[in-house]
This record gives sequence, C-alpha cells and structure tokens, in this order.
Amino acid sequence: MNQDLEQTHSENLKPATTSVEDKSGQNIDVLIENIGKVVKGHREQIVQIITCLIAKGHILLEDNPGSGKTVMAKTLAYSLSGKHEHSDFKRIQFTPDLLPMDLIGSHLYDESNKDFIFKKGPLFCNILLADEINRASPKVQSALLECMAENQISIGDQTYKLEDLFFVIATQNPIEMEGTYPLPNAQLDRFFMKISFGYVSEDIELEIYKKQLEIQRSQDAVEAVLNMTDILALRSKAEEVHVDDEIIQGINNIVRGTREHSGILLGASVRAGIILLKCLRAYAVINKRNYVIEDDLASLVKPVLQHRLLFKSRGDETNAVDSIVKKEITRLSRLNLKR
Amino acid sequence: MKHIDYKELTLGLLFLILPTILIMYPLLGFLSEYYSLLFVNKHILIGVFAAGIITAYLLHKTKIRFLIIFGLLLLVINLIYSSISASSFNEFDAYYVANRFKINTSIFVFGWFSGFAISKWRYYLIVFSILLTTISVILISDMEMSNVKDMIWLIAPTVLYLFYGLYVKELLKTIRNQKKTNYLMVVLRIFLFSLIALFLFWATIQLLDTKINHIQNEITQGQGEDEEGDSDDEEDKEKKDSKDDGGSSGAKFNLDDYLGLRDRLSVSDELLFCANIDNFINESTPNPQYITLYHLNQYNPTLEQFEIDPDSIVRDLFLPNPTKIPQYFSQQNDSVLIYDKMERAIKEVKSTIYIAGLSPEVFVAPSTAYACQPISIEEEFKKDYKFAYNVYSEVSELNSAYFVYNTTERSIVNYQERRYRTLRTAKNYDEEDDRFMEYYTEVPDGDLYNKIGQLADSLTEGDQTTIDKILSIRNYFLSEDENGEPLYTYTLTPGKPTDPNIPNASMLGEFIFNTHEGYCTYYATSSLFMLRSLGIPTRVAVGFMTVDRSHKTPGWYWFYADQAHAWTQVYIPEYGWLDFDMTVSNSDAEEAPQPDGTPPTPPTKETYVGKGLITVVDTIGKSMQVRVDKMIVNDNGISLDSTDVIDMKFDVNQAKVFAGEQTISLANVKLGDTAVMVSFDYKLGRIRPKYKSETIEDYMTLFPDPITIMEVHVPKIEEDKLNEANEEEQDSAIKTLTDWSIYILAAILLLLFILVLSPLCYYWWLSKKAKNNTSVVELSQVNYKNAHFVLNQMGVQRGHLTPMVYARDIVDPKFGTHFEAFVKIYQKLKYSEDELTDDEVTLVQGFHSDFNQKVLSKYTKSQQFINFIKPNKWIHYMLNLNLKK
Repeated sequence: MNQDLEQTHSENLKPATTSVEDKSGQNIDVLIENIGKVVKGHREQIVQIITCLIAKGHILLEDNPGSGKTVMAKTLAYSLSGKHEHSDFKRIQFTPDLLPMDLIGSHLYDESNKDFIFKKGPLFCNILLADEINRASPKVQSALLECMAENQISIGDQTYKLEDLFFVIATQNPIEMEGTYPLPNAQLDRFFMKISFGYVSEDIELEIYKKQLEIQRSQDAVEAVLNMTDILALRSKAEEVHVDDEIIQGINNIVRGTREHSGILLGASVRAGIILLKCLRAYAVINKRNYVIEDDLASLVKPVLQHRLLFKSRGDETNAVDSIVKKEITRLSRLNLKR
Repeated sequence: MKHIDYKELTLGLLFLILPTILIMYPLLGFLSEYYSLLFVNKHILIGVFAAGIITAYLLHKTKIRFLIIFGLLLLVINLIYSSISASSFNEFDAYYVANRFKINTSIFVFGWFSGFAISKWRYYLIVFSILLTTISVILISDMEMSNVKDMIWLIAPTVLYLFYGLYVKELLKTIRNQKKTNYLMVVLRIFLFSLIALFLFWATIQLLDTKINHIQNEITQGQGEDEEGDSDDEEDKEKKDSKDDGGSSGAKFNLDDYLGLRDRLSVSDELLFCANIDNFINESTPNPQYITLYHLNQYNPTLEQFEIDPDSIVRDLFLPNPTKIPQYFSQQNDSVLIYDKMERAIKEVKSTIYIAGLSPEVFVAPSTAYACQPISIEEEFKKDYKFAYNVYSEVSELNSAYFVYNTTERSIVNYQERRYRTLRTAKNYDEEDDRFMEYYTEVPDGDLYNKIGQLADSLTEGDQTTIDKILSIRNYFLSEDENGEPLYTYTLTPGKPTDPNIPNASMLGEFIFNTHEGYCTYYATSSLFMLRSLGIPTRVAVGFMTVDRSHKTPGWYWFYADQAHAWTQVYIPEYGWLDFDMTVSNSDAEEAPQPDGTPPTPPTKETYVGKGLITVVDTIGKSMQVRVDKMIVNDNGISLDSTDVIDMKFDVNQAKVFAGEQTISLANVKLGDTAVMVSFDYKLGRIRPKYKSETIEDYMTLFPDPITIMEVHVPKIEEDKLNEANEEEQDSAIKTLTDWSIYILAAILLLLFILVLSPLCYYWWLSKKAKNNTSVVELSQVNYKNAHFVLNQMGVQRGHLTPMVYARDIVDPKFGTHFEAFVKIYQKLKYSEDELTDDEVTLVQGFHSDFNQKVLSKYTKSQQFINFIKPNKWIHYMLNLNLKK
C-alpha cells in the first residue's frame, strides 16, 4: 500500500522540466554547506538526513542532549523555502501527557457556521521535529507513526491529506530512560534511518567555542537555498537512478546475510531491503550520480539496517553488520566489468 | 588460543633441532655398529630420534599439554613392550622384536626428552653436550681407538655443537623479546657464526697437525711396549679376515704384519684353533707340520713386503671356503698335487682342524692340502669351537717342524740325521724348468741385495749340496758373537732404522748388517734372499708355527695368535717344498699362554648324510622333506642323477638346526634352501652301498621312513645373501629417497622461480595489453587491474576499503595520481548503463602510463624490483584482488 501511494505521488509531482536536474545536484551541495555552517562537524549526518528526505522517509536521531539534534532539524527546515518565506516547520516536544489530538488537531465548534470545523494540528507541516519521542505515550507515538506511514490523517469519516513533502525528524534520548516509552521494534522499523551524532572532534569543538557568536548569528539568519519544488524534483530524480543487478544482488546478500548471521537474533525484513534500496537511490542523487556504486552500500547499510536488528551480544552489535558489509563490498569490488 | 610465533618455531627447528639430529647421527651410527644393536639400522635409529625430538619440540612450542602426552606415551610404550615380551607364538621368538622395540623406543624417548628440554631449559644444551661427550669417551675407550685424529673428530663436533647451540639459543631468546625482527638477519648471523666457528676449528687442527702427529707416534710406540690384550668382537673379526681379499687373517693379530718388515708387531694370546695332525715318525713320535695359510712368491722391495702373485706359475695352493662346503661333503682340488712337484717320500696326512678364535672361512692346513671336509662337533665342545673340518694333505716324509727348536728326543734326532742324509743325495736343479727357476730365484737389483748375496756366498763357502748351504745359513743365524752372546735375537719391536743419514733406510739391511734384531719375517726374508742368490728356489710361507708342548695327547696341537709365523720353503727336486725355519728361538711362542685343553672327541660316526633342496618343513610335526641329490651312506658317496632325484622324509624331532655356527629354530628354515641332513643313527650303519645296477627307488627301500636326523645344516650364506639383499634394498631405498628429495628440491626451486618471475611477467603483460587495447571498457579493466597490482606490490594495500575511498584517501594524496577520477569512470562503467563522455575516454586512455610513472617515481629502481618480485605480495594479490568474472 505504501508503495502504491508513493507511486501516485511521484506521478503527480513530476517536475515539468528536466533542466532542473543539474541545478539541483549543485543545490544539494549548497544545502549541505548551508547546514554545515551552523551544524559543525556533522557532514555525514547531514547527508544521511537529506538522504532520508529525498528517499521520502523519516529519520530518528538518537543522542545525548546538547549534541545539536534540534539545531540540525531547524536549520534544515529553514534552508528550505516553502509556501511562505520558510518551509513549514513545526516542533513538538513530546511529553507523557501529550494527546494524539495535540498532534493531529481537533474539531472545534464554529459558532458562525454552526458547525464543527477541523482545526489542523502541528502535523500539517513540511518538516516536523518530534523531540524526545520516547517520552510520549504509545498512543501518541502510534498516531504519529501512522501518519508517517500513511501520509494522511483519518478523523471520523474524513480523511485529511498531509503535505506532499512531509518529513519527520524524531529525536530520542538514550539516557534518562525512566518514565519513557521506548519505541517498539515494529515502530522503529518505520524510520528509514536511526543515526546518532556523537561528539565532534576536538578541533571542531574548539572552533565552535571560538566562533560561537558567528554560528549563533548564522543560525538566526539561515537562508533558504532550496524550495519544495527542488526537493520534489530530486525525489523524482532519485526514482530514475539506475541500480545495477549486482548492486541489487548485493542488497539481497546483505539483507539475507543479517538473517543468517550467527550473532543476529532478528534479521532485516523485506521492507528493510526496500528502504535500503530507496536510500541508495537518494544517496546516489546526493552524490550527483544516476547509478549506485558499492561505496553507497558501504555508507548506508549500517544506518539503515542497524536499528532493525536484534543482536546476541554487544560485540555482535558493533561488528556483525560491518562484517556482512565488508564481505559484500569485497565481492562487489572484485567483479569484472561486464560490458 | 595462545599466540605462537611460527617464524621463531621454524628458526628453532632449522637451527637448533636439525643440528642436534645431525650431531647425533654419527654417534648413533657408532653405537649401533659397535655394540651391534640387534640389527637395528642406524638410519632407523636416527629417524626415530628425529621423530621424537621434532614432535616434542613442536608440541612444547605450540603449548599443547605436553606432560600429559608424554606420560601417556610412556604408558603406551611400556604396555606394548610388556605385551611383546610376554607373547610368544610356537617357534616365534619375541625376544629380538621386544629388544629392538626397546632400543627404538628408548632412543625415541631420549629424542622426545631432548626436544622438550631444548625448548624449555636454557642450559639443557650444556647437559646434552656433556652427555654426548661422555658417550664419545666411552666409545673411544671401548673401541680402543688409538688414532688421535679419530678422537678429535669424534669429540670436536660435540664441542662445536655446544657453542653453536648456546649461541643460537641466546639469539632466539633475544629475538623473542624484540618486537620487530629481521629474520633474514638472524639466519645470516647464525650462518656467519657457524662459519667462523668451523674455520677456527679447522685452522686449529691444521696448525696443530704436526703436534698431533707427534702425539700419535708417541701413543703408538707406547702401546707397542706393553702388549695389547683383550679379544675383539666376533663379528668384526669375520669381516676382517676373509682370506679371499688377498691376505689378512686372525683376530687381534693381523697376518698382514707377517707379510712384510714392520718396525713393531703386536700379538695376542687368543686361542685360534686346535688341530689333530695324524703324522708320526715310527708310528709313535708325533711329527708336527707347520700350518700354512698361504705362500708368497713375490716381493715388493719398496714396501719390503711379500705379496700373493695372482699370476703365479705354480698353483699349488688350495684355498676353499670351508663354510661354503656342505657338511660332510668334501671339496677337493687334485691339480695342486701336480703343481707341488712332489715325487718321492710322499705321505698322506689327515688332519682335523677345530676352529676357535679364527674365522671359519679361513682355510688352514699342513701343506700341501688338497681336500676339505667340514664335520660336526660333539655337543660338549660346541661352546669352545665353532667349526671343524678334516683336511687331507700330501706331505713329504722329510718335512718337519723340528728344525730350529733343538730337541733331545732320540727318535727325532735320528729322524733329522736321516733326513739330512737323504737330502744330500737329492738331485741338483739342472733338470728343472728354466721359468720355474727364474721365478723362484729372482732377487731385486740393488746394493743391499748384492751385499746379501756376498754374505751368503761367504757363509756357504765350501758347501756342495743344497741342504748343507741351508744348514750353513741356519748356523749363521744361530751363531754367537765374540762375546759369547747370540748374534741374532728375536724381538717383536725391531724399531725403525736409527741412522738419521739414510732416509727410508731398508729395514732388511738394518736387520742383517746392523741390529740383528727382528721377528720371523725378518729371518724369513733374509734367508730367502740369501738362498735365492745362491740359486736355490725359495719362497715364504705364512701360517702358524706348530709347537708340540705336551706328550699327553700326541698328534694334538693348540694354536694361539702369537704362533702366527712366516718361514721359508725351499724346493728340493723330487721331494717338493720343504719347510726351513731360520728364526732364532722365541721362548714366548713355545710356552702356551694357557694349558692345552682337552682334545675334542671326534663326533660319532655319521651313518647317513643327505644334501638337497628343502621342499617341506613341518614345524609342528617336526619333520622335513628334502629333495636329495647327494648322499653319503656309511662313507660311500652316492651321487644321484637329476632323473633320480627323490623326495625323502626326515624325522627332525631330535635334530638341531645349524645355520653356519649358529643354532636356529626349525621355523627359521626356509623352503628352497639347500640343507644337509646328518644322521648318526646306528641302525643305518648296516646299510650297504648302492649297487650300480639297482634303481634308486629299490635302494631307498632299505632306509626307514622317515629317517631319524640328528643335525640339519642350513648354509649361512643364504643369510648373508639375505642381509646383502636387505642392504641393497636399503641402499636403493636411500637412493630413491635422495632422488625424490632432489626432485622435490628442484620442484620447490622451480616454484620459487615462477613465484619470483610471474609478477614481473604479469606486469609486462598488463602493459602490453594496455598498449594494444582500443576498447575503452577493456582498457579500463586493464588499468584498474594494473593500478591495483602495482599498488599492491609497492605495499600500498587496499585492505577492506572500497576502491573509491582507497583512491581518494590513500592513493591520490600519496602519489598525486588521478586514481579517484579513474575509479569514478570505472564504477560508471560497472554499475550504470551510460556511455562515457569524451573527457572520460581521454582520461582512461592516458591513465596507464601516467599512473605507473607517478607511482613508480616514488621508488628507486632497486626498490621497485624487489617489491615486484616479492612472492608474498603477489600471492596476496592473486588471492584477494584479482578480478572475477
């Protein structure tokens, strides 16, 4: 069902001209650079987030407080121009007492029309920052996740479509697990990637302290470098990316490899494979290619698959996926040219 | 799994264990040879030792539970040993197997322990070397090794090994503590050390060579004064004194010594044999005959010794090998009776020789012997004598051993007088054949021989007959000087000529004209030349002086090693060769070193002897069946035609089986061997000889069936042959082994060569391909391979990086190449369906030479070459980076 929807969308939203393509490739660099001005030392994560954006997915950031998750989401949102001056960016701080209504919106009685009208909630936006998603009750979590999957909201007999470009950046805190509702594996599966920021290197941290004011200023004045149309164009471009049979074989090998690996209790699903394929295409576009290479696999498999798997031990958690990928990369890099 | 340093392990194996095995090799060889360790082959011994030491070393180094395995091993070995020694199947004797097993396993355990100890204890090598030296010293003393150089060569390697081992051990210890080690350097250092040590050792030996020789001489002279004693091992003896190879005999003594003039002579008092010579004067007085081994006609003036002349014109020497004659059958050579030229006063003498210390293969007899018949020895004398045979000789009635040793026995004095009288009437040499005379009166040219001739002339002045001349010369040797002292004295150590002005002075001249001291050969040689210069045909005989010491057992004589003797034989026309002994009396030889034993009683008269091929051996029913081709029934030889050959059944229940001198069990008798069946059964004594007319079948009905047999003789020769065959087999096995090792070595070398050359060939092949290719795709492929290959050989390895990351992060920053751009194009070709742009095509086309040049310019030519031929990198490339379809 998910796929069908995506297809209808892509048909609707196909850009009129192809001349945008070249420009958009460069625009991504500009976008990355733009975000990089504010979020220092996290280029890899920026690329991963944009990959998810272009692959029509959502992303979960997991890290300690103060590592720049929110700033990242905000900067991304501000870098994209929407209907208004900026794209529609909403931020919801999830708390245990949050209700689904607070997300979706509710029917209010309109006295002038003597009717109930639907007051749209914060979900009706382009980019949603769902902060500390694990603090909300499962009810709220599932409401959000449903919207993410369906891209529409059904209330009563009415169905409200969300924005064409609807991108959720959820964050969660690995510490302070008390009073939280950790996301079940099934729901984690909905996120294309789960990434963590980690601490920046010493040089960059020093630079951040030194140029704090400057960064603050540029954060306040983030320019919109891409508009929604550009993003949609990139998305449709990603769908045209050629994926070689050997790469598809590679995806298959990796996904099946996770199921056969002795250190992995629960392997990746078929959906995981599809998501990986989508991400690979998006990643290729970001790297200004219309074909996927083994490097893409090397960079994406771990962020895409890691959070979907259950491991036997801590050692497996760090090594299992790497070893599978390494094996596959070796296989791919030793292949002869076919033509 | 603990960490194991395989390189150190290999070094240890090569430079510590291998030399240990090598050092053990000669020692084990000596041990197995000298102590005749139950036929254990030294190659097997060293193999067992090597297996033990290597396994133990590897086990200990690889940290496998060592002690437990060792304990288990000991237990298993012990169990097997006890089970082997406890078991015995019918005739099968487990003793040898058990013993061999014991020796092999103890060597194995010793090797095992050494391997373990070398690996574990730092100073074990010292203990090991001390042990080796001790063994060497024991060996030296046991073998009575008198050669200083031999001793040095036995001990020195051990000492060298000790220093070498300590050095290597320390070296290995230090490299273990180092983080990084250049193993090539270690190997080089070990080689250098060994070289220097070997050189120093060699130089020392060379420098001290003269001194060592001096010591050597002193030792040998010292030994000459105090006589050597003790008997040697029997097996050694048999090897030494085969008469066939031209002349040595005896056990401790060496008859070769009697062939020539030596400065010293060592003798022992071992009993060699005893003989019953049936030769009496007047039926009662025994007339002993000298026992001849052989006579020598040729003289070598330079070496001053006698030699057997293979082309001698007189072939009167009967030389059978008694052990090869079947028991009770005789070998006869009648031609010697023609050659001995005896025409008058001939007497047939039968002697019986009982061999004790001498080799039974040596035939000794009073001359002139013409027939030999091996006989059995009575059971009670078997421990004293190992072989016996009857000898039939044709002896001159005038021949006698009583010549020099004056006797008061009336009958002998009379006999001698009569003898001289008879001989004075003998013919002169006018009728003799010229060639014969020339051959036996030949004297070498030279002042010395002229002087001897002059002396002989002066001594025999006035003598008319040959015998008078001989007596004059004998009297000269017995004469006294002006002081009343004997002119000539007997000594075993005449010493070298003392006159320093005459180098290589003749011992003979020294004896006659100066010292007048010598042993029998001196006297024999001097008288030989004196007589020959007088025109009397003379030769030297070597054998044993017969001494009649006791009157209790007339006709029986005992021969000890110190009775070995050389004397002259003079040809008298018609009477043949007569013994004349010019040697002055030697009291030592006349007195027996031990009292004469009881003469062995002659064995019971054999009634039946049959010889033939064994066809059936029944070890349980104790019977044998033999296809008899020759029989002796009550001294009547019955020879059967090939058509008459019949299978006879024998009851061997009481029989003893002999293979040569050894008693063996019936189970060891092999089918197809020739066996001699001997029966003393008196019931057979009545059987008459076969009539010529009757058939063998009819004659055989006179015999009981089966015939009871007392002795079965199986030839020892078969065993020898078997041993020889075994040796040959082993030789060929060793040969094939060496052949194989050469093949393997060649194959390894070839492989190494290919390994070294193939990377270069691959590189050239790639370059050629890059030049010839027009297709961009193929060119890209070649470029990609080339880049990976070159980088791999130069040590810039990709590892698990993707090609793109590798190109971007490692290669391009290091070499300033455009590898990343190329990889991008390559990936495009690989994973997309797009065509390349013109720019990209240009880049691919120019990439090969540009890349190689940029990468290789970072290295010197020699570095490039060494890197290219490194086989490990090449293998890594082939295994990990080579592309697949």
